[in-house]
Amino acid sequence: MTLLRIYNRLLRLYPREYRASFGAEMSAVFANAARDRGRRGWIATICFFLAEVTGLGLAVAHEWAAKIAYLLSHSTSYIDGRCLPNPLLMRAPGVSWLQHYGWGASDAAAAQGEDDGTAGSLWDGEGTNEQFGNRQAPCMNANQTFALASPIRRLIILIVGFRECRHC
Amino acid sequence: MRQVAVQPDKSDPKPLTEPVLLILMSLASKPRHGYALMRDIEDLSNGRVRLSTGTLYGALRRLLADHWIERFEQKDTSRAKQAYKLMPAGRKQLEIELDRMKQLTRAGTLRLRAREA
Repeated sequence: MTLLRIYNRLLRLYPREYRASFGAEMSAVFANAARDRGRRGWIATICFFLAEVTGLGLAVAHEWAAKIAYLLSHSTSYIDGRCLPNPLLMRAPGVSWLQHYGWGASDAAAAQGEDDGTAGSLWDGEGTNEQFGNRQAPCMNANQTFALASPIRRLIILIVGFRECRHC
Repeated sequence: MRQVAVQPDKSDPKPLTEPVLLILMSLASKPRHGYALMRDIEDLSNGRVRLSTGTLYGALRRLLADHWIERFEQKDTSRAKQAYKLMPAGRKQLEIELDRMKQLTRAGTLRLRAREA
């Protein structure tokens, strides 16, 4: 089928990781949809193909932009990249969040709270940990990538800023 | 009780785009594979929205990255298909979005009635 062959060629425009992850599936979906449209006549098929090519062009541009933005400050795949845990977000046993982050003003309040026995319940709750666990610092991959990056890449990262990782 | 400064929640719900909303709605009832999703979205929108394969899979990729949906092998009689199912985080986002739309609809209806009155 000519349309499918053309579509498969166009799929090569996607980033390699994206193609490996979704290429075969997209091709199968396109084949099914083309067969479906083929029953409605050749005008419907051509309209369908043009819409598909337009959608694919926009999606390719979007994926490349997403990949470049992610890879600027990460060395893992933008599709299924996983960050290493950031030691800055790890709290040693027995160290309160306040001490861990060095929040001076709150420290005094916490010390006062500890005296009246309320500090533990406030800071050690699961919800609270979750809340502070979500504080975004550049992930470990971002730090590693920055450390190993060429001077020009470092400069670009500093200008653009660290790209927040969706997986952290 | 001591007051704690609330950190801005990074998971603040933003309005979903139409393709994302339709994909989540389609997956809310049962897991589906790509082509079934495409057909169901067309039915859901009364033929108004027809997602291209590129748009559909771009949105699916972002939803997978956000852990709103999950991919799994669907054992089919003919061949194994990749199907997608809604995760609790995705269901929650869908509920939030539908609530937001309900509120908007209510507010719009009130304005219309006020004008008619």
